[in-house]
Amino acid sequence: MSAVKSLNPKAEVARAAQALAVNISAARGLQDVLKSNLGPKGTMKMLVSGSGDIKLTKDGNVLLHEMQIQHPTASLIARVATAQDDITGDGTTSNVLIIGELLKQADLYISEGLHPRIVTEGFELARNKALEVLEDIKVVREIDRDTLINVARTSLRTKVHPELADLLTEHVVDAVLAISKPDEPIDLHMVEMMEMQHKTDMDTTLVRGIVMDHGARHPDMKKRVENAYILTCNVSLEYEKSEVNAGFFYKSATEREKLVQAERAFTDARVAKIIEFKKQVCDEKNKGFVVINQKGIDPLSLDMMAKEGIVALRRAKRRNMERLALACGGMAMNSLDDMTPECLGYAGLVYEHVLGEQKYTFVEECKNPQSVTILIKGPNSHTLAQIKDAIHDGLRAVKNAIEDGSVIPGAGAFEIAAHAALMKYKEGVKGRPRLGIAAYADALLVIPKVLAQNSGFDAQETIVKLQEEYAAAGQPVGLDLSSGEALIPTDVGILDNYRVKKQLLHSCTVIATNLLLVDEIMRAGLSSLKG
Amino acid sequence: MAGTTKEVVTIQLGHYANFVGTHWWNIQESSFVYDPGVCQGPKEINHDVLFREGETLQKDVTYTPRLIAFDLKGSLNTLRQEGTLYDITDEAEDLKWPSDVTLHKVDVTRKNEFLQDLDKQDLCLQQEKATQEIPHQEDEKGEHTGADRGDVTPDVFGSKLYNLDKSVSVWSDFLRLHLHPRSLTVIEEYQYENKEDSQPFDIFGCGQQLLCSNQKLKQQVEDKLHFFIEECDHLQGFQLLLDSYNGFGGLACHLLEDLTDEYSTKGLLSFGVTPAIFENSTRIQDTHRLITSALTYEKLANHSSLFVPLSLNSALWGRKPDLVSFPHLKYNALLDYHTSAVLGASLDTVTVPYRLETNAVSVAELTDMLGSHGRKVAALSASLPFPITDSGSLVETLMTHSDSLPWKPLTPYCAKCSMPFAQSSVLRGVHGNLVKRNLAPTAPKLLRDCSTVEEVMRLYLTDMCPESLNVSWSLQQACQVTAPFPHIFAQDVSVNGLLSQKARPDTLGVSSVPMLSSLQSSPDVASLVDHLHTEATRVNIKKFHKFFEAGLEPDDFTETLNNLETLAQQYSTDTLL
Repeated sequence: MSAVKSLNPKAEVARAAQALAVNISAARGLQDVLKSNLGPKGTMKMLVSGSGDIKLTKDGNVLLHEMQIQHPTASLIARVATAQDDITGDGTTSNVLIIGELLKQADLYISEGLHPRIVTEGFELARNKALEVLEDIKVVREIDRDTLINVARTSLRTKVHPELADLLTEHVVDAVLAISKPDEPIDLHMVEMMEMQHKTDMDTTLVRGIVMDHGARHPDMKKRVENAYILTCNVSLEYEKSEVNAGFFYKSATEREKLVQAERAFTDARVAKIIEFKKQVCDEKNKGFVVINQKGIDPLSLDMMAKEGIVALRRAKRRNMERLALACGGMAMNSLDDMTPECLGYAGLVYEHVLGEQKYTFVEECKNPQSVTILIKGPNSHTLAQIKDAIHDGLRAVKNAIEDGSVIPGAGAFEIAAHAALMKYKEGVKGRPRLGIAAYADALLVIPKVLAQNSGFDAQETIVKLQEEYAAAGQPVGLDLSSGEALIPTDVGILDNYRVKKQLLHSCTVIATNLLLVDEIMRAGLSSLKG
Repeated sequence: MAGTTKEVVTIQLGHYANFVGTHWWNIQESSFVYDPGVCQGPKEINHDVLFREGETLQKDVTYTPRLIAFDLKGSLNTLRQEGTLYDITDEAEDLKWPSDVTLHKVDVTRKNEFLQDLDKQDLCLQQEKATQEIPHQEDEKGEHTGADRGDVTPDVFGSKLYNLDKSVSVWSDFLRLHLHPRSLTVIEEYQYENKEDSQPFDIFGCGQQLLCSNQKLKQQVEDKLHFFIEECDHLQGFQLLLDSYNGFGGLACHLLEDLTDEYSTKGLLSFGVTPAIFENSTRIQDTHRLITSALTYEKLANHSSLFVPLSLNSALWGRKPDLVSFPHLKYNALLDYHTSAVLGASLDTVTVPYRLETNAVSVAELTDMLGSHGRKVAALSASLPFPITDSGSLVETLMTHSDSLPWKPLTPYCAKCSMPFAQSSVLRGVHGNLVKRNLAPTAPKLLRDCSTVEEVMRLYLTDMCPESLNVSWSLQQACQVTAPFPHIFAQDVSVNGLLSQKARPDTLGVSSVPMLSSLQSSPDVASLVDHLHTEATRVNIKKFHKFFEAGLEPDDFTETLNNLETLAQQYSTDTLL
C-alpha cells in the first residue's frame, strides 16, 4: 500500500500474484526438503554440526525443529506442521507435503485467471467431503492387541530400521496396555523412558516397574533385594540448619559442636522411626525393605539404615514419586508420623546396575504395575535420541488408536479412496468451485505418489494402477512398497490413526486457504527501521 | 569423595554468564596441582566443593565442574554439546536403515590456536597413557587419577603467549577444561546472534515460559539437576550465574523458584552479569534490556538468598557507558572476552570463603550475614591486581590507601564506596613474608605488632569501616591468570603480579596476580535500585507489546516497580538512626 510506503520508504511490499508466488514457492521449497522422508522407504538424514554433534533422523518434526527457517511463510507452515505433531504425535511430513501440493494445484487454476476465493470455496467443500470419506473408510473394530501392534508397527517402521521397529512395537504396545485403565484417559507420562548407553539398540527392553538412574549411596547396602517393601516418602533425612541466622560466630568449638548435635538428634529420630517401622513389618527373614526418598539422606542416616539392612535411595525425581506409587502400590508419605503397612508398596526384585559412574536401580516384579519403563539401549547418544523419538511417536500412535476406537487403512489407501470420491462429488457441484474440488483431490494424491517415488517406482504408473485396482476391488487399496503393486492394507496390517488424518485434513485446508487468500505481503516492521 | 565436603552446584544461564563462568573455571583449573610432590605449602582451596570426580565408561577418572550451563542454539562454535571427555573411541557407525541415508554436514569451524594446542596436548596424553598402561597394569589405581590430563607439563600452559582477542567470539573458544556431558543444555527455540528474521531471546517472559512450554527441556533440566545433586552428600547450596538483561533472566527466575521450592534450606547465591557495552544497539533493544533487568532484579532479590549484580559499566541503563577503570588494567570494554575476565577473576576470589579447605563457611552462612534485613542485593568490589609493589609490603600498600578504599566497584552505581553494613573481604596472593618487610620505623606501633596477613587485614578494615560487620579471609595462593586469560594487565605489572618499576617485556604474560575483593551489603545498592526504578518508570510499558505477548500483565509491571522502590528503601540509613 502506498500509505505504508510514504510512512516508511524502506517497507517492502509484494502484491497480488507476486505475493502468491512468494507463498507458493516457500511451501514448495519446504515440500521438496521433506519429500524424501515419507514412509518406511524414505531417506534417513544424518545431521552433523560444525563441532561434530550427530543427529540421525527421518522424522519430519525433528527436522523442522533442526532447520533454521528464515522465510516467514515457510516458518508458518513449519509451525502448523509441528503443531500437528504436538496434537496427534504424527503426520508432520504429510502435513507439509499436502499444504505444498494444495498450493501447487491451486496455482494451476489461479494462473488461468480463477480467483483464489473460488478455489478456497472448493477446498472447503472438498474437505467436508473428504471427512465423510474418512468416516466411511475407517475401520471400527475392537482395538485388541493385534490391532495395536499393527498400528504401532506402521508408525515405527517409518522411524527406525525394521528389526528394531518390530522389537519396539511389542514394547510400546505392552507399555500402553499396562498403564491404560478402563474409562480413563491414558497418561503417557506413566511410561518412563530411561536411556542407557550400553550394548546395542536391539537390547532395548520393557521393564514392568521403575528404573531410576541413581542408586543407594552406601557401600554396605545390598545391591539386590528380593521380596521388598517399598517406602516412598518426601521427608528430609539430612542434617540441616534449622534456624536462619548469621551463624558465623560461635563462642567456642564445643558450643558449635553442641548446637550441631542438638539438630542432628532431630534427624536421627526420624531415621530411628523408619528403622522401627521396618522391624515391625519385616518380621520374617526373607523380606527386604527399600526406602525411596524425594528429599536428601545424609551419610550418617544412610549408615544407620545400612546397619539395619535397609536399602535407601535419596533425591528421587518428583515425577518418579507418582510413578512409584502406581508401579508398586502404596503411597508417598509426607510425614513419618502415620506410617501403616498399607502405605508400603511391594516389588519382587530391586537391584542395582552400575555403568561407569552411572548407577541404575531397577524396581521390578511389581504386583500390578500401572507405570512401566522402557529401557532404551544403544551404543551412542544419537542412537538413543533417535530411538527415544521413535518410541515417543509409537506410544502416541497406540494411545490414539485406543482412544479413537478405530483405525484407517494406511499405505495411501485413504488418499486413493478420497480422490475417487471427490472426483465423483465434483460432478454434482455447480459452478467454478468444482475446480477447487478437483485441485484438492489431486493434491491428496501426493501422499501415494511420494510413497511410490521414495520406493523407486514411477509415480504416475503406480497411481493409475492403484486407482484401477480400487475401482475393481471396491475396498480401500494401498501401495505395496516392496513390489509396487496394490495391496489391501487391512490384510497386511498397515494401519494409521484416524485422528491424525482428520487433523491433517483440517489444518492443511485452513493453512492453504489462508495462504491463497493473501494478496499482499508487507515487510515494514520496526526491525527494518534500524539504522 | 572427601568425607565432609559441602558441595555447591553451579548453574550458568546465558552467553555472557558463560563467558564469565569459563574464565572462572579456567582460573580454577590452572591452580590445580596434579603432582603432590610439587605442591608448596598447605592445600588451601578444596576444589571438591565445585568439582566432581567421575568415571568414564573406559574407567578413566575425570574431574569436571558440578555445573549446568544453558546457552542458545548455535552458540557453541567448535564445542560439542556432550564434550569429548566421555567419548567412546571405537565408534564405527552402524546404520541399519535399509534405504538411503543422506549426510548433511555443516562445515567444520576451525579451532583457534589455543584450542588446537589443547587438542594436541590431550592427544599426547592419551598416547602417553597407552604406553604407560602396559607395564603398570597391577598398580593402576592411583596412577591414573591425574593422568587424565595435565600430569606432564606440556608446553601449552608453559610460556607460550597467545593473543586470542581476535579469535575469541564465543566462550567455548577459550574453554580450557572438559565439561561433563550433562553440563550443557542448548535451548533449541532461539538462535544465538540471530539474523533479522528470527525471534531474539531478549524478553523476560520468553525465558520464563520456556520451561512451561517445552516439556522435553523441562525434563532434561530436571534430569541434569538430579544427576549433580543426588551424588552430593552434604549439598550446601547453589550458585547461579546469569545474564540478567535477556530472556535468561526469566529462565533463571523460573528455575530459582523451583529450587527454592525444593531446597528451601540451601543457600542460593546469584550473580547477574551484564556486558559493559552493547555494540550497535537500538533504542528498542536498550529498552527491552531495561525492562527485563527490572523484572529480573526484582525476582532475584526476592527468591535468592543473595543477589549480586555485576557489570563493568557502572552507569548501566544510562545513555553513555561509564566504564570502571582499574589503575593497572587496560581492557577493551567492547570485548566480552576481556570484561568477563575481570568478573571471572573477582568471582573466583569472592567465593573463596565457602571453598576453603579448613574453616570454610557455608553459602547459607555467607548469604545470611550479607542479606539480612531484607537487603538481599549485595555489591561486589575488587582490586585487580592488588597494588603491592615488588619491594613494598602489605602494611605499606594499605597505608597508601588510608583515606580511600583500595577496590573498585563491579556493581553498577556503587562508586561512592559508602560504609557498608557488612562485608566479607578476601585477600589472596600476599605471602606472609610480605606483611611488613622494609617497613619504615615511623609506622604506627599497632601495625608493627601485626605478624600475619589476617591480623593486618582485620585491623585495616576495622579502621576503615568501623561501623561495619567485617569478616576477612586471606589466601596465599594468587589468582592464576595464565592463558587463556586475556592480556589486560598494564606494563608495570610483573610476571608474578607485583608492581614493578621495570616494564614487563612484551613477550611475557602475567602468570598470577594478588587480588582483593569485598562482597558488601552497602547503602550504595540503594542508588543502583533507584536508578533502575527511575529508568524503568520512564518506560511506557504499553508500547512494548512483546512483553505482553510473553505473558506480562501491566499490573505485574507496576507491582515490580513498587517492589523495587521498597527494596531501595531497605537500604536507607535514615531508618537506622
